[in-house]
Amino acid sequence: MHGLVNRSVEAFTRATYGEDLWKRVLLRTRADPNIFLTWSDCPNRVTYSLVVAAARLVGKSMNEYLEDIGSWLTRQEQIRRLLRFSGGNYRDFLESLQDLPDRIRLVIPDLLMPDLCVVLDSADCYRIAASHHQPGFLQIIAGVLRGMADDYGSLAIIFASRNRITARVAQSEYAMKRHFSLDPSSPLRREALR
Amino acid sequence: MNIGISCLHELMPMHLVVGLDGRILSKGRTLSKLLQGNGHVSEAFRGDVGRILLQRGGGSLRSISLKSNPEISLVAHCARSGDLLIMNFGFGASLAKAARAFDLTNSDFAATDLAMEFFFLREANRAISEELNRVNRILKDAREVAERLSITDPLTGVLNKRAFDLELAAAMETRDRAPFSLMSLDLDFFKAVNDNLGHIAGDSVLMSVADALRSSLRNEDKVCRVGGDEFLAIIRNCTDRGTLLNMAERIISAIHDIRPPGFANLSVSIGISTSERCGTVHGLLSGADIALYRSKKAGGGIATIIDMP
Repeated sequence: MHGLVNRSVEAFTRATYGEDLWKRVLLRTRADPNIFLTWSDCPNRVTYSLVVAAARLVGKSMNEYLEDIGSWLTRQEQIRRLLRFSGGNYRDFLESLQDLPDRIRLVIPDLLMPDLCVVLDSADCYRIAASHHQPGFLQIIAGVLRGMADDYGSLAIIFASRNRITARVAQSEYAMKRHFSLDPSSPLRREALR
Repeated sequence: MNIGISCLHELMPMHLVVGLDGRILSKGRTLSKLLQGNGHVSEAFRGDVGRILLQRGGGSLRSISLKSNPEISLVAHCARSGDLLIMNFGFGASLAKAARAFDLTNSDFAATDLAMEFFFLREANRAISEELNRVNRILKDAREVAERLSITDPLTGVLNKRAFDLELAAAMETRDRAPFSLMSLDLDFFKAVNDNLGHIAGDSVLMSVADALRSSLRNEDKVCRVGGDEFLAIIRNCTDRGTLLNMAERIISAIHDIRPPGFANLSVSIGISTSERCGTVHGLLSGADIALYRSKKAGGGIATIIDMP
């Protein structure tokens, strides 16, 4: 697994549950905290054991924990912005989800992740599958989809199973979108003026 | 084949249709945000751009400055169709600047435009370099700690033998310009402190001794703990007997003032050799050792300077 994945697990856990809990996760898994410094590869079992240990300590299932990581990622301003470049509204965003792995590879070529396939099942129902099974991957994506629905102000029902996600867009424009400007230095200032 | 102007509006938000007289006949919605004036190309761009484009009647032109904002330069691509000039504009390298200046959004760009990919890459790169900087900072701090640990004695904070050997070799190298002296110090009866008060008290005595050495010597002098209760010091730019004995006297008295509980006072024996008399590292060390032995033999608590190598 790419070091950035561990870094996400670390950052989410520390921000959500605090330093002490993260220290306990490290002690339980005997993981070397230095692995999170690098971009280099680290054995998958390290990543999985971190998630398992953290989920157990906070009393959540592993799937819930992964979905929470996905949603949390969309609330990190830098990441939220990168995701918002994928489309002007939530439907565009879902439909361009197939490009997301390519976009990510454009920036981090060695981050291996399955490709995503998006199929429109009915007028408002999308089915999302991965090109190959990687445990936990779709759960994180489901969390991302949930977080981005909020961000776009859409009402959507997301359901993740082992090998697919279904996203039903009940109302594409349900609430206020969060503000998004192409100029990264402007959003806060401009929102304050409104 | 007849293509309606509404198609241009739909496909090319940065288009401009100009008559041969230079009058603007149609303007894409994004370009409308950028251009001031409605009538003539010469009102829209700085310089003679309008005329050049009209004269060429086709091809491309770069670095076209806007009248509304001279800092932003566009790229134009145009073709003639009958008595119309159809132009399509792009932002080239001014893209980010233009997005900021004119508050552009996703919908201002054609779906086929790579602008969004550009913005995505720009921000992704920034995020990645921030993350790499964070990692670099952590690694740099870790390296500094490791370096400090690798040259110091963890108990007293003075140099360890390895670092001291490097200092001694360097001092030896420049002894012609900067003659120096070597002090070898050994606590008298330290074993009794350890045996009677325990190692923790012994350690705290050693820390006090290191403090006493640091404060009795000058900044440029180097102190090292060789092990146990043995210390070495390089006294820079000094081989004068009187000065050396004064320094040694200061050290003896500072260490004398450390009073471990139950002990009247602490005493130290000192042996000194100078780079003028001993020409090698080995000679310096053994000279200081011989001098130290003489101080010990005389009952301790004194300093001896070796006379001969």
